Amino acid sequence: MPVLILSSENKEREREIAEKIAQKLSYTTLNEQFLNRIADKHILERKKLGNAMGSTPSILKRMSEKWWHYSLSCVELEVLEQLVEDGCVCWGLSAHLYVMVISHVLKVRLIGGHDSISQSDRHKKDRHKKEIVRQQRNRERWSMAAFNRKEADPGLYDMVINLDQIQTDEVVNTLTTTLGYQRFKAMTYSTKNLKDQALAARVKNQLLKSLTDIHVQAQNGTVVVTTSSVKRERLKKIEKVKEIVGHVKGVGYLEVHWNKDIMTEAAMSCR
Amino acid sequence: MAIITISRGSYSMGKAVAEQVAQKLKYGLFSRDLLFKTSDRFDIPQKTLEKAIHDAPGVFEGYSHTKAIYLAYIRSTLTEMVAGGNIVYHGLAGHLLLNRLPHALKVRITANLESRVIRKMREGFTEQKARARIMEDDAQRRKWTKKIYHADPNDASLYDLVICIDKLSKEDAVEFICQSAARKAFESTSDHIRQARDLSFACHVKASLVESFPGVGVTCEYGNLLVYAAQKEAYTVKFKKILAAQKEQIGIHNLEVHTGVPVPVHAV
Repeated sequence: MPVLILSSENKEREREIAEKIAQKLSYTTLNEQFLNRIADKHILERKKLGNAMGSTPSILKRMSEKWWHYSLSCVELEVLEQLVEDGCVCWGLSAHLYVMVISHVLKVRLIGGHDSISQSDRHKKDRHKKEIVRQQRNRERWSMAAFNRKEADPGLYDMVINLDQIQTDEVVNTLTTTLGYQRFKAMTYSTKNLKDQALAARVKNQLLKSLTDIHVQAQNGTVVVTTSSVKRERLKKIEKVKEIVGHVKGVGYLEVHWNKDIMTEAAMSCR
Repeated sequence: MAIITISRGSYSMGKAVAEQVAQKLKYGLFSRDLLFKTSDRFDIPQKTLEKAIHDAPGVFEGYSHTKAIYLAYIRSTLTEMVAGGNIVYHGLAGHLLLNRLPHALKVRITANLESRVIRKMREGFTEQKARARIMEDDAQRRKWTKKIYHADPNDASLYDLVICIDKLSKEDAVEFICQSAARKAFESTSDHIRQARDLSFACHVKASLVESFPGVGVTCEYGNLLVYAAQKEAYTVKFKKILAAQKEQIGIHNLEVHTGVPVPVHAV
């Protein structure tokens, strides 16, 4: 069965649409409540995990960059493993930023739809507009830092629907019809791609527990890890990667690509 | 009675989608015809107009307002052509030129770069050249929209619907657009028709003034025209003469000239 991933700046309308679609198609739902399970499973503080999903790391928030990347990888891993089950409507977990090129996954962004909130008072409306712009900027900064992708980029989605003119029920009808198309059925190949992405997320999650600057790709059980460090720590880092990945279930073959960390090297040579 | 504008990148199948939508809804379809009509109406060579609407302004063009003048002409013709409704326009900048019409369904068709490159290669280009041409074209269009309208063509908030022809097929896109066009928000009510006519009047007057007075702004509501101009412009004989001629020609109810006030954002 297909998977629907929704992304929106208007959380209320997003939830309303997602729930209606899930109910209509008898799909399971995956939303922010799932963070409770992730927090329990990976022994993370629930409130802090919620913050990590919406803001970038900073000393003031007592959130280190290493912990931030690790907590995001936990979310990525758990969401991908849930999506492998298919027949699901997912929202509020930023899955549109890490689930890429899977043919049975329909990714839709919902924009606008704020007008009904404040039509009466002009000042209120202006304030509301400013708030929306501020939120959009924050989200863009967050998505770039976390996944190097702009959340508002229409290229990430199969469809972008403006809710200013198109009503909730019309969106629900359009999306339920689309999900019924044969081409959105989960096929062996697309499920395999999703499993590969889940495997890559599992490896990344394990590595980020103790290492930083990790990129992982997986295909048919072959995992490629790209990392960087100063030259003198090259062997040490590669060995550590091999040791950790060796314990991850599902890895058939491992390749480690190493790049020189020029910035740290330059900083060290200046000392 | 909807107005549909389809914006597209090159080789994104937008043209084919527009043609099928027009055929399915039995609507009129136009793209380049707009340039032919504008060329005839304002006696400007087609190539010059085409360059104005396609290429981004150069360093010196910012001062001569040439592109702004041609755009005012094009917009005037476009608003006149769509005023009756039942139209699919798939030329450049339809979503920006008609952004004042709430009942215009603004659609963008996108496709991933790889499939666009393959389509371009069918014309005999090598992969490298095809990719370079498409990317250059995209960059030119982005630059043009940013310079003239201070907007990014990839900004989804400019559209009602953005469809990526990749997982979704051309036929799906046609289906979605037809379904959306049938929605109540895009029906041509008497109020919508009035707004389209008002916009057409405003653009018509702007087109007549823009060459001599590029800074003027024009708004029109219920056939009442408001022209915003600088004081020294508004008292010139030429200005008064043009407006008098327009008032007689297009049959507006009332005409007011406002000086010393900033041009409103919604003015053309």
